[in-house]
Amino acid sequence: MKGVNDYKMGNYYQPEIECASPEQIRAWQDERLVKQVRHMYDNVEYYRKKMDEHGVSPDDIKSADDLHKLPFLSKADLRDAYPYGLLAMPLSDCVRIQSTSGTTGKRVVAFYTQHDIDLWEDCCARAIVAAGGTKDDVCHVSYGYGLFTGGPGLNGGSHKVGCLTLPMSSGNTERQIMFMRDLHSTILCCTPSYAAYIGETLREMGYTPDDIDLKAGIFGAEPWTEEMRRDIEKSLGLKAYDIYGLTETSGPGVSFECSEQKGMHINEDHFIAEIIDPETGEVLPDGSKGELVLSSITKEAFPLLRYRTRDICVLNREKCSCGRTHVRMSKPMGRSDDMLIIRGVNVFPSQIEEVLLKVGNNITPNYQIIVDRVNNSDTLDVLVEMSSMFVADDVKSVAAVEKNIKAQLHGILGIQANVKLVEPKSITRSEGKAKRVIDKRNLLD
Amino acid sequence: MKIITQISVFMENTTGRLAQILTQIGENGIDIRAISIADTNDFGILRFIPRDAEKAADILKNLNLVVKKTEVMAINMDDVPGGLAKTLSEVSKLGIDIQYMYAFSSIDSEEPTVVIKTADVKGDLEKLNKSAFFS
Repeated sequence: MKGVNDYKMGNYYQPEIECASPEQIRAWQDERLVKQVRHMYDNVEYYRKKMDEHGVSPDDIKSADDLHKLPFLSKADLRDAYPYGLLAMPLSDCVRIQSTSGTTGKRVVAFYTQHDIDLWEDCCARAIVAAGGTKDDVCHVSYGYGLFTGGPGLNGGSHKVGCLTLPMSSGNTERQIMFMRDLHSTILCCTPSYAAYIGETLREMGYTPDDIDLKAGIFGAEPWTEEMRRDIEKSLGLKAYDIYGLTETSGPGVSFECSEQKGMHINEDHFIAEIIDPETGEVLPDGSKGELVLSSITKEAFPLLRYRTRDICVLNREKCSCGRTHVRMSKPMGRSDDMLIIRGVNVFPSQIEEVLLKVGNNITPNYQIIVDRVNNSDTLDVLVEMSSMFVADDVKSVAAVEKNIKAQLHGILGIQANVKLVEPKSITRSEGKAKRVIDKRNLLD
Repeated sequence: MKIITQISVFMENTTGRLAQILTQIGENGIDIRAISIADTNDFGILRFIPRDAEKAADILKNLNLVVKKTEVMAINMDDVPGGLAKTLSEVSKLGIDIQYMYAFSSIDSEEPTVVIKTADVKGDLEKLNKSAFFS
C-alpha cells in the first residue's frame, strides 16, 4: 500500500498552538471565555435571558473554572431561537450560513462571519496536516457541498494547507475514481460509508489500491467502527483518520485524529470541552464517560456556550506521542438522546411516530424501527402492526397504506424507509412494552 | 343470486402461517364454504365465505387476527365449459367493474357459484336483477 508509513511525525499546521503548553492553552481559554460570555450577554437576548434566569452575570465568569456556572444550550434552544435568536453579530457582518441535515422542524442554521470561516478552516487544515497533508498533496473532498458543513469545511482546510483541492462532493463514483487516477488524489475526505462504497466501486471497475495514489483519508460525520476503518484502509490502500464536529460548532474540525490514533485532539484554543452526567448535568472528572459539552470561545456570529452535543465520550489529558498538547476525546460511544444517524441523516424515532399518528387517525399503531447495515449502506425498516384502522379486503388498499406511510416518512426524514405492515402482536414485547428501536449496526466497539 | 358476507384476514407471508390460521379457524368450528387468497411478497389477504359470518368474525378477532367483513355477490352459473365466462361477460356488459372474484362448485345449491366483489355490491346486484340475462 502506498504511503501508509509515509507520514512525517511532527507535522503541524499551527505548531505554536497545537503544541502549546497546557498553561498557555489554559490562559487562552480563560481570556477568551470571559470575552465570549460578555459578547453573548451583550448581543444575544435569548442567552442573556437564560443567564439572568440562571442567576449568573458576566462578572461571575473570571476564568474557565467558572464555566460550570453558565446555563446549558441544547438543540431545543436552537429550535426555539430559529433562525436569528442566537445570532451574536449584525447580519450584515455575516457572510454564510450552513445547516444540518434533518427535517424542517429540526434544522439548525449556523451563521458565520469571514473571521469565523477562517478559524473553522484553520481547524480543518490542522486535521489535514495531522493526516500527513502538505501543499504538494491533492485533496479529494467527497463530503457533500452545500448546506452541509463537510464539503465546505474540508474544502477550506485544503486551501489553507495549499493542497490542490478537488471539490468532488459525493456521487458519480466512477467519475470520482477517474479523477482520483488522472489527477493523482492523495488525501480523501468523505463519510466512512462513502469511502467504503468508493472502495467497492474501485474493485468493480477492475482496479486495486495500487492503481490509485491515496495515502490518507479523513472520515467523519457518522459513527464508524475500528472494523470499518480496517476495511476502508484495505480497500483503498490508505491510513484512515477520524474527524469530529457539529454544525453548531462550525462543522468538522472540532477535533481530529493524529498519527497515534488514540483519540481525537480537540482544538482547545477554540473550544472548551466538558464531560457531564446527562441526567444531572454535573461536570465529571477527566476519564469519566459522559456527554460532551462544547463551548465556542472564538466564534463571533453564532457562538454557543455549554452546548450539549448528546455524544457520549471520554476525555484524556495524558501526553500524546504526536507532540500535540490539546486534550483528546474518544470516538463517540453512543448518544444521550435517541437520535439515530442513518445514511448521514439525523433521525429521531419521534419523527417516525409522528407520521404513524397522522396516518393512523390519531391512534399510534404499534411499530418498530430496525436499522441495519447492508453492503456498507444503512437501511431503515419500519414495521407497523396491522390494525382495524388499516384493514381491507384487497391487496391494493393495504399496499396503498404502506406506500403512503413510506411517502410521508420520506417527506419528514428525507431518506427512504422500507415500510412493512405486520400482524398484531408480532412485534416482540418485553415486560408489556415494545422495544421501539433496534439498531443492528454494532457501531460501538 | 344474493349478497353474502365474506371474511377477509390479513396475514404475513411466512411459511406455515396460512396452515396455522386455517387450523385455528377449523378448531373453532368455523365452516368454510369458499376460499381464496391474494398475496404480495410481504403479506396476504385470506378471503373466505363462512356459514356464520358474525360468529367467524368474533372468533377470529379474539384470536388477535385483523379481520374485515365484506358484502359480496354470489351468482350461480351453468355447470358447463364456458359457464363462468358467460356469467362474467354478462356482468361486464352491464358496465359493472369486477374488483376480484373466485368460483366454486357450490355454496348452498347444486350449481357452481362465482363470488364477485364490486365497488357497489348492493347497487350492482340490483342492476343484475333488472337485466334480462340474470332475472
